[in-house]
Amino acid sequence: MSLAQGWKLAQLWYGDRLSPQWSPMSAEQAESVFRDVGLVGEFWKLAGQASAR
Amino acid sequence: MVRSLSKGLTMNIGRKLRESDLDARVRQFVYRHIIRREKSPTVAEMAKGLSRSTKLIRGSLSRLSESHAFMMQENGELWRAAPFSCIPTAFPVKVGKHSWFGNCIWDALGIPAMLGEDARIEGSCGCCNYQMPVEVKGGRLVAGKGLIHIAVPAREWYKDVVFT
Repeated sequence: MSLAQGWKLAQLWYGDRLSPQWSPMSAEQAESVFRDVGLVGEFWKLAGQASAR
Repeated sequence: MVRSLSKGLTMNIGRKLRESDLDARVRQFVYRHIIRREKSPTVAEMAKGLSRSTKLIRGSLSRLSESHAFMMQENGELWRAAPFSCIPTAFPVKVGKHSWFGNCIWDALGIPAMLGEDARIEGSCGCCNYQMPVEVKGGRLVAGKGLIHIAVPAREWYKDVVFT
């Protein structure tokens, strides 16, 4: 991915990490974030995993 | 029998709520400590700071590790509290006079994203160590060249996280 995509991904992934209400994303939510950044395809699938990072 | 089942269920729910509350407190304690002191707290420091036994703290860290956001070293101390690495890596991140390490470029970018601050990441190429600094300013990427290469498909990231 480009650095610009990496920065956008980091913002979506970690922007709320300090919130006391934060909870791990589901696999579906994580895949949605990847799609928002333009990361699509089999490589970015998390099917079958309970949560991501 | 109905009374003991109900009591068991209530105790189980109570325990889950206490665990959930402790886990939230441990998360916040760890992040505040890392941000303030630029290093992760030890289990003993967490126990003292939160007035809990090391056994309870280790239980909490184990639960927090289920999502891989926290990860532990073999010695029982923190290895990662995403996006922070708790050990030195090839991705140092400077924010003003403070510095931390990210586990990879994604995590390194996650530090200014999390803190909402300007940052400089002294990244380097994974194969040849060629210097590839990246800079974030005013919420925007203002300097940096190259690509981010992720070698492992997403569903396999945690099979060997060090390799990933």
